[in-house]
Amino acid sequence: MNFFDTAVSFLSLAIKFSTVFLFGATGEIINQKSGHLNMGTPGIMYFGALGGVLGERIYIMCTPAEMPLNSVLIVLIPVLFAIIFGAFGGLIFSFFTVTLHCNQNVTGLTLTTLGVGVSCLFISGMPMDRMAEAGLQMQSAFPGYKSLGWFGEIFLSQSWFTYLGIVIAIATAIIISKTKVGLNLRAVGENAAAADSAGINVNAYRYIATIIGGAIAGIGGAFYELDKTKGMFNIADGIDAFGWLALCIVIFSMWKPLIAIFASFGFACLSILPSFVSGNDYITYGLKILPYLATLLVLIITSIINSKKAQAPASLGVTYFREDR
Amino acid sequence: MVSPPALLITFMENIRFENITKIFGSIVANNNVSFSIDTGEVFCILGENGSGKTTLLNVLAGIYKQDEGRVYINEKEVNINSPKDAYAHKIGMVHQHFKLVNVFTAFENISLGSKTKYTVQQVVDLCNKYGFKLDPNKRVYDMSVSEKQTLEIVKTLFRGVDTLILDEPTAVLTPQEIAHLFDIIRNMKKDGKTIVIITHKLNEVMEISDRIAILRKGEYITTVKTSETNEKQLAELMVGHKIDLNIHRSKIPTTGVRLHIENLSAVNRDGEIAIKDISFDLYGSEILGIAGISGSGQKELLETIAGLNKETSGSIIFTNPKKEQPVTFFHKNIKQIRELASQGKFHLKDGSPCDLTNKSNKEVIEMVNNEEIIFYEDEIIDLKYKKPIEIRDLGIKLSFVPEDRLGMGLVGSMDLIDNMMLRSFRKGHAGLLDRRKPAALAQKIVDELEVKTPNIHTQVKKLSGGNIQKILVGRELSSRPKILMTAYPVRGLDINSSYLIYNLLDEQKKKGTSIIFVGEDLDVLMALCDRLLVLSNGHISGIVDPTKVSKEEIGLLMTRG
Repeated sequence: MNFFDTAVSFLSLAIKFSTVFLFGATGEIINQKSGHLNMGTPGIMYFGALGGVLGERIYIMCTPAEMPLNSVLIVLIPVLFAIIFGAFGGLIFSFFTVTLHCNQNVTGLTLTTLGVGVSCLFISGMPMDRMAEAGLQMQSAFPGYKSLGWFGEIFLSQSWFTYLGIVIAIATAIIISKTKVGLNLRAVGENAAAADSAGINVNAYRYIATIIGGAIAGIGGAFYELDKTKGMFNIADGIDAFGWLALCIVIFSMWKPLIAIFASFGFACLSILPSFVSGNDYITYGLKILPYLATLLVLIITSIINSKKAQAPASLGVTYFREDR
Repeated sequence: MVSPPALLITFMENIRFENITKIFGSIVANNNVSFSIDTGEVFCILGENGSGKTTLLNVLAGIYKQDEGRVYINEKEVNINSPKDAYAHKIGMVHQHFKLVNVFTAFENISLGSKTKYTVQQVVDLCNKYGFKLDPNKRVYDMSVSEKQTLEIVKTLFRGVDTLILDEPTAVLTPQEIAHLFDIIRNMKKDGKTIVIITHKLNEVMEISDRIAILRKGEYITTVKTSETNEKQLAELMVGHKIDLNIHRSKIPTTGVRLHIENLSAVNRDGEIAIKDISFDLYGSEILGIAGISGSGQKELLETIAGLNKETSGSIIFTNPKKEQPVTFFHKNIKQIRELASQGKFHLKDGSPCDLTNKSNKEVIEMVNNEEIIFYEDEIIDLKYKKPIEIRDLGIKLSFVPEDRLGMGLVGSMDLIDNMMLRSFRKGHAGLLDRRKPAALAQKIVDELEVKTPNIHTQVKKLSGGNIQKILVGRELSSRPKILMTAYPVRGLDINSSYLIYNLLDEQKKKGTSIIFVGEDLDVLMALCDRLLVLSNGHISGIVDPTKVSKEEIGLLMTRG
């Protein structure tokens, strides 16, 4: 394998990996724009993974053994399940923080622990037959990509999930910055009291934003579980690691989904680098530190820049209760 | 005068509160409040801090929901559950703490949450109609306090309100800005709007209002016509008994320069330049007032002197008036005394030079206690780059009563004794704490300043703002400061406590303390202070004698440059 081929397959894999980050980051951006610092995102991605695997199982079980799996349904059904499960995670978070006025950090961390535990328990108990076949089915959205050389290999070899992720990120960016709903959402996250006194239903915005954000993050978890591990559960390489890095990508991209697309790609490159570098264990494990080192670096840089426009939403992490004195 | 027909009376009456009661935990904020506000009048709600003015109007604006009672608009009972409902009844409120989104432009803040789409031109038209000065494209974080308030009012008017509630609208404005605001209020009144103003400032009430409702400790007292009352009567209604509204300014000669500040510049915690090129002298036995629009560098100036901020240039020279005074352990420890003696700073009582090298500690202690060791000259110390603890170790008695009492002054969750120990925990034996002296001090403060507390073991945060402030001021004064710096010491206090604090400051002045007093109420500053330093945008725009200038002149200085 020459260098060129290696580079092409590296980039192709990086894009695939970045999809997981992107779903997580986009979901979290929507959360945070509403003022919810949802540290439950890693757990919610696990919920999504559970939903995705469950959806795929149900589809496989309903398909006779001799029939081939439909390449559209094999994506659509798990995605729907992932959305429902992820949204459920967001609903739990909102219920605790908005309705019960719980601390957001505590709620988020609890949700992550819960999500990891519950999903591990159920996914590991699921039968594995035809999962690998299903995984192959959803590999690429455009089967003809090979005729387009390196361009096709990198950009068109991806599954529907990747393109969906980019579309969702762009749509989110437009909604947040160009529409009235986006303006209201930003106001809720910046100054909930101001939004409330302007007649915006703060609680509704926070509930809905968190549920939608959870649903999007959930798709990311499902994609990772179905595409990369093909239903084979591997706890050492958990989804929560993606979730935590997604939280960092949100800060790095300054709460802008468009930047998050590229930030996700960057973090994906760092994450897969170890498997492309041959060497002893020290080098491999050393390289695995890179994404986390980058996280620290990002925090340092953003605290130095400290520009007024690239700040976190001002009410981030603050639970709003109108009658608070 | 012919009384108007009955029909007209019902038409005139706009808003009526009936038996409104609102309870927060164990605190009754409003108790059975009933009165009415007429259409098209400027109506003031007058009361001390904590009398329930804001709570009551928050019920009308949909922020709070009353526990009991009813609100009527045009004789129809209404149910206002949210600010949105309030807008539906054409009621809008400008809160004391502005509810604006900092990163949004003025126009974005105005169009926030509204169904109809506005254009920038509409905003400009409305501003011209009432005389507002507002740039629709300016972001809120670039705005001055007065601009933010203008934006809040415009925002509310855009919702088509007929009743506008203003909560303490003049608290942070200069005299000129207040005059402009009152012009606007008169314009709105001409336009048929009802204006409700929450305030505790008597002179402004007299100037702008048609009628005044007075609240005291959550209870409704009465409503009076402005034309039929005066400031004295209003003050008595507010407080419930006769009070002396005069601030004492003792005329005593100042002693020499205590603090000499030259070309001082400093940055704030975000690294932005907060004060630049500040030069002034502070004398003994004087109160130097600092006036300025909030955020002009008052806080940073005090923090820089106290050693909490980083100086970038300039000097802070402190003169300790020690010439021919005996050295005491109150200011110096034995090690410092030995060191100063070796530098030849002392002489003995009989005039002979002081040599302590061959003396044992016991002998030195005895000499100090017998006041045998005398300073040759005043001590002159440069405070630049010194941290608070270093300043204290030098024996400099510098006290700072900060703006943020529970944030910087006291620890809310600790009791009175422990809060006393924040100042003295380094004294006493190593290892174990000695609680007796702080307990005695706490008890002394409680007795002398009439602090209302169950006992000295009560958590400070459970006390009212006035009592918390008394404890803080009491503790700082107990260290017999040479320099006392205080920022907004009466913020949130009732009238009685405020005057008690003013008098305490004046007493301290008589004892020779140099006092720097940062205030927001120009009337108080002008009545209490011997000199007034006006800050504008981080630099000094003038140092004036408050008996020789007018409020308007000071207002101009506040906005210059």
